[in-house]
Amino acid sequence: MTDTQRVALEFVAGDDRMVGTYHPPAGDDARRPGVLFTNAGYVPRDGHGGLAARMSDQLAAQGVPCFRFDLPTIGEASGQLPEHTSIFFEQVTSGVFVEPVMRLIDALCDTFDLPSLIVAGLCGAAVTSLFAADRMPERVSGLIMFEPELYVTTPSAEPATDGQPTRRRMRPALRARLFSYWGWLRLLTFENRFGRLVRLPRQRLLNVLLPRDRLPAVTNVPLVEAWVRVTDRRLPVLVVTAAGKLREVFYDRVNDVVLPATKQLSVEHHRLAGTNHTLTTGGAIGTATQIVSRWIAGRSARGTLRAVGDVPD
Amino acid sequence: MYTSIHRATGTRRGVVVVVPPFGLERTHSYPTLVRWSRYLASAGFDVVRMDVRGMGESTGEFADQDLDTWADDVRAVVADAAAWAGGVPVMIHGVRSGGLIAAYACRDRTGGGVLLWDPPSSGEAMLQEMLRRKLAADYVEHTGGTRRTRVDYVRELQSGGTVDVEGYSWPERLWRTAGAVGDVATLLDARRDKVVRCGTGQTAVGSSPAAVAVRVPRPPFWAESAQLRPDLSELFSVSLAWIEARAAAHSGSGRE
Repeated sequence: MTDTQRVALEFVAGDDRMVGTYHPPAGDDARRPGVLFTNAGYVPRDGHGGLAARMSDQLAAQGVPCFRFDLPTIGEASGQLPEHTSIFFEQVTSGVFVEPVMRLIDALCDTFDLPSLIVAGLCGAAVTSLFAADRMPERVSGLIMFEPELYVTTPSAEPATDGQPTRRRMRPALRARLFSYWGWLRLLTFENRFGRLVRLPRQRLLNVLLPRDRLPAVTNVPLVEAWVRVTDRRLPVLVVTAAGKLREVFYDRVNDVVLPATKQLSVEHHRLAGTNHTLTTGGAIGTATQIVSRWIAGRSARGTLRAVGDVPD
Repeated sequence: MYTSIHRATGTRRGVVVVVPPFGLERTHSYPTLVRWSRYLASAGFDVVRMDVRGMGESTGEFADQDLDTWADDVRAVVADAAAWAGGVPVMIHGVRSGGLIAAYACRDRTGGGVLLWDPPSSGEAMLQEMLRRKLAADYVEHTGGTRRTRVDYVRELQSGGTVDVEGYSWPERLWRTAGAVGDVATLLDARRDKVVRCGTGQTAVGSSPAAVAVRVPRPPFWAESAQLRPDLSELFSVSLAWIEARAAAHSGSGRE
């Protein structure tokens, strides 16, 4: 990528000061939807492995204005993160960033004279984007979710120990792990360190933990309700998941329950093999960028966008 | 190149240029470095947080960068800061791999002193550690394609190929230039530089007379983010004391 341009932005609303980056579009001055990326969890706005920054560079080169913002408390924005990640994710899954993102969407559309925005993000940003897409049908014209997390927050995988583990400390820790719902889900989806070491009837066990005929008890119900409304509305949605991993398994099970097989969907789902939750291995960032590039180009009302680079089928 | 400036509260006593680590450690350490920058600003120091080219908010392809281009970036930011600093000292603070970059950039005694947080012992040690992390993560998570060893990756880099590490394409030139750096301790001057080792483990730079050890919660803030605001009061106060001492020494030398 050459001749990339990035412009620092600041958005102040009430007590919140958000800091962002604008990727001006190359080419003509056609008025077309922009793309807004928000923080993947507590990660600064460039994203894991620079995913959001690199994707924005590519889309801007295609003529799509892109924005990336640090939401309140994250990255360079004002405010202070909570002490622990688990608390942060409780806040994210309850939609704490939805209002700031909605204010941001309004401000960006008005300031940059955009007809609408496509909201995008990984993990926690997918959660916030989905909530925002549901609540702003007039201004959100598309949704891109990488590794959407449709469940409520997970407890810490590692029981807290102070210093070296002792036998006394190990016993409750081991028991907690053996009977941990999330521990088993992580084990079965290769998201913990023992996943490779034990041979298990993975599918059968997953069927027990995540039945196909009802929503799992840990489902983020308000988020899934938003998901149903968004698909009812046939909002164009692109979903990219790490194949066989926890979020994908959960996403599939939720859809088995809430989306009838006969329902007409405007959802395009890509499963990336050989990568992790943050898409930082197996060349997944490049692949995901090509997928997004092609999806956006396919949605250009004027048909003037072009995909850059080879796009995998 | 992207820089973010935290203005000092009250009279500016000095400027600190913060060079973060690259790769995943930048991501994990980001909240801490923003917190540290605000802490320094409240103590009267302007802070310039920078991203080297190809990382974070700075433009440029990662695959086009190496230790030399990044050292140029640090020197450019330091020179720019010196131009507007108004005579107060400009110190350079490198964290982990950013420490390697900072020490390498300032080996000719550029700036008013270098503060390093847990730097690697050498350029090669740093890259080897990151490759080890990649191998472990790929193995555990069942990702990354065909299983390979560190030697395979090193061979691929040495033969001009690229290796995908933590989402970034490492080029051969990164391996080559980092390998040429050698022992980080030899780049430092105990009279004006400082190494803060985090934890109690020994590292190669631990033998440097400029080194001091402090305790930080484990896992350290650059390796994981289970704690988003770990207690780093000792690390912050030891580091601030060194920065204040450097600023005072500069003031006492009549260079203001």
